[in-house]
Amino acid sequence: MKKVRDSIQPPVIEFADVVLDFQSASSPLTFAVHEGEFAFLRSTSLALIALGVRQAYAGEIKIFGQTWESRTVRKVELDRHRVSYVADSDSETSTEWVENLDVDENVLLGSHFDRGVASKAAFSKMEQLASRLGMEKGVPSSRPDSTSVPDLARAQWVRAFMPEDLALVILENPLEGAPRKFIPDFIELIQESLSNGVAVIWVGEDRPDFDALGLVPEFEF
Amino acid sequence: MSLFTAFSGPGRWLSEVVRKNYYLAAISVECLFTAFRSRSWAQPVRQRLARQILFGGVEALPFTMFSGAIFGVVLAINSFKWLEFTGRIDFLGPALSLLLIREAAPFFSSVIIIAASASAITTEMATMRVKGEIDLIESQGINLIQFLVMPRAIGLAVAGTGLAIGFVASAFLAAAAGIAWIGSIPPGPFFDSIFSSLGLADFVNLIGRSSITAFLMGGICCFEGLSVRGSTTVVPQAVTRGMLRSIAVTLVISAIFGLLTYI
Repeated sequence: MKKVRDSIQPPVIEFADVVLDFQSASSPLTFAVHEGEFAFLRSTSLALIALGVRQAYAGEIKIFGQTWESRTVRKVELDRHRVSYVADSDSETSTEWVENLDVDENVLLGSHFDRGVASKAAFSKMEQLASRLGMEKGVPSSRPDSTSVPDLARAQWVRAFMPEDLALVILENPLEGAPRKFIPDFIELIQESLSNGVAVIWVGEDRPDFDALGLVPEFEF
Repeated sequence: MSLFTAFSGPGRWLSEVVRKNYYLAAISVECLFTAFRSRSWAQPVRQRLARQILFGGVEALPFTMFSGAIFGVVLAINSFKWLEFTGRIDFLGPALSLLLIREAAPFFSSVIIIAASASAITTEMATMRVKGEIDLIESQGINLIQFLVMPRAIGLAVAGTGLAIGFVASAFLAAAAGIAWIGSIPPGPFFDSIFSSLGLADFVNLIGRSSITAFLMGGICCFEGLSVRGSTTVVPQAVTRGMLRSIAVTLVISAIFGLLTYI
């Protein structure tokens, strides 16, 4: 696997010989992604492991130069507000939604607990992102199990770009179930985030046609 | 069988009891500290608190008052008959105050909280855990104590206190009606004897027992629910543990308040 070129800035995320689970023990992951870099990672879901919510089978993960174990509880919460992800909707080991909240409540949930983010500002941002992604009536105010798959896919996109001080976005098969018509708008959001210094990792077991999408991964692992 | 083997079973049980109660104490203290920070009360937390008071308190109030009325009538009639027999009918007010306010109301409100809310909270937390929703919440930097535990524990404390007060009110009203019917004692003198016998210890018992017990039950049920691992088959086991521990804490708190009141 390629390693990222050295940079004077510490990587936003680093994996060192990380084994996600015992089934993938033969292929440890080692990579680092810096600010504003776009990387493709051929792998199964890893967002919850990258965020320190679940433990990797082996290896060390650092976000903003620190392991999760070395942080205080409050620091963990603050740093998790800077990382977002689109969960793989086909994953059997994780869920994308809190079922007893409406989809729009799910999207706003993290913002409510992010210090310094006013409720009205978060709501306004959600509406703007939804409008850009073709949801003219906004993010649905229905329960996830009553919402269509295309709307859920776009709601995940909205949620992924909600954090105010976003530093890293992990996209796990983000196009799964998404309406093709709005994929260019989603790609535009990714490109804007990259130019704003956000690191983006696209994760999937199959490499999408990035040329057709208009994205150029700087690194592939 | 060696001495070690003989004591290892009870030792493991005791160690588990100590561990769980240590965690309960830690969760309770964290809930209280979190509650006193104004920034803890984000909109989803306030919503959850309101729902908990509604489901745990308001919706259970009619049944609680019905139970209180039945209990009040039965207790009043029995007390009246025995006190009349012993020639100490003047103790009717103080006796009913003591039994209803200090003992029956907090106990019954706890029983109703266990029946109406404890299993629901444990089930909800356990289901969220096995479905991966807790991981999702944590991944967004949301503190589980702040978002899930605190509003439920405090909501139950408010609900439990309200139910206890409702129980007492309906019990005394029904008792007054019962006494007026069988003993021909008008409600006025009956309530005078009740109010003149009330002291600080009665209010402390009523509010303290009902609120503290319900608060701890909220922490217990959330802890048992969030502790599960595996599939949905473990959820009923967590519910059973939550309810049994809630019953245990009801009895322990009653005993502690009883000792503190009378010693």
